[in-house]
Amino acid sequence: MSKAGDFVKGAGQIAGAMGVTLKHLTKKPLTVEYPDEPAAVFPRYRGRHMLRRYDAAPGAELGLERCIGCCLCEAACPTGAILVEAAENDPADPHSPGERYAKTYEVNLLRCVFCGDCEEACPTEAVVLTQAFPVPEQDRRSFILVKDQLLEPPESNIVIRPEQ
Amino acid sequence: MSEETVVTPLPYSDVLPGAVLAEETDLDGTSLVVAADKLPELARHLRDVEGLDLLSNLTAVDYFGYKGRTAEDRFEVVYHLFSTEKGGGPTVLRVRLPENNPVLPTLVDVYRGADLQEREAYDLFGIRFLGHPALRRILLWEGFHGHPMRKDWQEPYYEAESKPFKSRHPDGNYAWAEDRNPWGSNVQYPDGFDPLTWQEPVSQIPLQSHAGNGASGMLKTDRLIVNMGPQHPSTHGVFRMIVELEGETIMALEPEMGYLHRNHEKIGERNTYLMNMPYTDRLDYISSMSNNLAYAIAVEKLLGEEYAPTERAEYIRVIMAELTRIVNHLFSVGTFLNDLGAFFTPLLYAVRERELILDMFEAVSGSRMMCNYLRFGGVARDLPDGWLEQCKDLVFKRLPGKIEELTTYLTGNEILQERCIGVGYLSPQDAINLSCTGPQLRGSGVAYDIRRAEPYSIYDRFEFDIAAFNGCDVYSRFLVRMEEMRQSVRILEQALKQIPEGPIQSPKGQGSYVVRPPVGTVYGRIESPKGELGFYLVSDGSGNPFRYRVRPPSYINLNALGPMSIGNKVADCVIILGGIDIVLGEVDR
Ligand code: SF4
Ligand code: SF4
Repeated sequence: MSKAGDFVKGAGQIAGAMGVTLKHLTKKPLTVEYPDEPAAVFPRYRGRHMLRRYDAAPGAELGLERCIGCCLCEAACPTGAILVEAAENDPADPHSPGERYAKTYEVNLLRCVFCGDCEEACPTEAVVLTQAFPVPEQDRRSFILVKDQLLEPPESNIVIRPEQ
Repeated sequence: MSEETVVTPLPYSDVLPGAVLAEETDLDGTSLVVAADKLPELARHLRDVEGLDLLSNLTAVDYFGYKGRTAEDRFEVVYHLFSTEKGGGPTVLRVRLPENNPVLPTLVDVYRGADLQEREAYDLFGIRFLGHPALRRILLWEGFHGHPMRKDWQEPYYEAESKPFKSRHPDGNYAWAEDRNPWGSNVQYPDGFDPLTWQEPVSQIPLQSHAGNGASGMLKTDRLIVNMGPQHPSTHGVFRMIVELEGETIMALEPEMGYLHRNHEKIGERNTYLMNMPYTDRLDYISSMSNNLAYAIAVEKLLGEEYAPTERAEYIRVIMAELTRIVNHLFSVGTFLNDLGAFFTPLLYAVRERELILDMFEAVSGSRMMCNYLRFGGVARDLPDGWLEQCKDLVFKRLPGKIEELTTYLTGNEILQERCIGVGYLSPQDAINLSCTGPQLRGSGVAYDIRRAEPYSIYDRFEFDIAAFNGCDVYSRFLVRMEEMRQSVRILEQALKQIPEGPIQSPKGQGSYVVRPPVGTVYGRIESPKGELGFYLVSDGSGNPFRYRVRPPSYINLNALGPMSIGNKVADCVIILGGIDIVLGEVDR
């Protein structure tokens, strides 16, 4: 091919490629400025754990804890991130509807791989993975979530997408 | 037994008397027990006469403490041979070796692809292969004491044989492993090894005789050894290539790996079967759904009919596996262009489509990359409402156009063709002999795809073509990936139309957290985006696998890296590596 033909062909290709680039100038970016802007996640997103409660009885402030201290989640966890210690409920002031409740419940987020197996194993749907992103911490101890922290719904700058 | 029993002669007893000692039946077919000294001869016969040209999987098992095994047959080396021509299932060879002297002849002379896998078996099990050209440790370093996959080897932070590890929570508290075993006393060295005076052995790259010093007749140059990596942007992770150069021409190249080694297989033995599922995500972390599928298929073979996945689950699995293939190829093509020097623009175009597919994964499984979605006998959760419509939109309307867009701007691109055509030549015979699979093999013109050769799941119901190009170079491998994306879209179109309603879990698989498969061994394999991904499992009837072996495609494809690079320019070994498409999570395991 002649030099001129080469030139025209090259210029055409470059113009074509630039066209693709320029077309995107007018489009909205796909990225979001998390954490200033909320990140969108799906309802099934596996984030930080939470221990759920039953709905509060009339008059009561908080519902009973769902967790009955059966340790199934601990046994199912592939990384050994969960620690459960069960204790007998006091019938006058029970923590949970069953005979037993979890005296200690800890999740070590440094070990956890967010696989969701604990959630699947739980018979009472007590432990769930919420959509919240786990927050960074300064020291290793703080990554161990204790029961009081787990009973509080976590806060995170997210919006949950509709299921499609 | 009555005397009339007809004794059928052992296979191959007419050509090689005494080579096969016994024929055994296993959960997934028969296998031959072979005498160690006759192994190379038998392998040569199988390769040349029987057409079993692909040594796909080579691994060892330590039967220490296994029922019915003694010190005399403690170790077993297992070979899975396939025919690229005829397809079909494996021919399995087993060589049993005693505890005190586990030595057998190497197969490198017959199948050059045995090289890396034999080194791995030596490294992890201490089995020696006589005649291997460079039998050195590969995943671990020379200062490592012992062979970790042996059953009687215990790690410094040893906790228990199987999970859950009670030692993690003494007195209801967390115990950090390093506090239990403080720094300094957790390392053992082999006898006579001093880490302070140790020097890395000088590379044993064999010098190529055909090109001596200054052979080009032009400038006289000195041979130069260059380390590319471990911290090098082109190596896609922590991977090192020791390159011997003359001028700019590569005279020899040796891959060096193991920087990311975590002994995935030992961890797998401590886990229950189901616990391994999230771990498989982390092998080839670009395509976790495929890894899940390969593992689920292997375990379902072990568990038997009752755990066969339901129709709907099969379709979901195929949809996920093919979406994964597109994700993987988009990423691989994008990073390949990075290696070529088209810095990040093509990658970002590719990654944008990948994002949309990852969204689909997130909606289904709850995670974008570490999906942990498949279960034995089905999948973890059903598709959310509206997912199929969304996916159809993506597959029918968006992806084909985007793949064509990539094709328009890449495939015909002159710079790309200049850099790629004729680079990294690998002949079809070599590709098979070096145990290559996946796009690497099909880029050499061998139309071998497990989805056709030994169909698994429901791939026999779909219409698609095997993407194979016979340029035998990096460009062909690139073309294979582009074409496979189109074929995946084709499979997806069919699967999305045909997917039935119904249960997503076989009744038996429902909520079965601990499965106890029968005693036996199986090898399950799939065509993962990178090649043949296989799982070789040995069950002793308990809830933990006795042996859990991953056949990692990108690790084994690295066999061909050296042979392909020799004679090319040093800048080209970057794209040759990019053309193999490795993920270090899988290479190092
Ligand atoms: S998400 Fe997985 S790793 Fe994390 S605590 Fe639950 S079971 Fe364990
Ligand atoms: S969270 Fe669920 S599985 Fe875990 S101890 Fe409580 S009830 Fe049992």
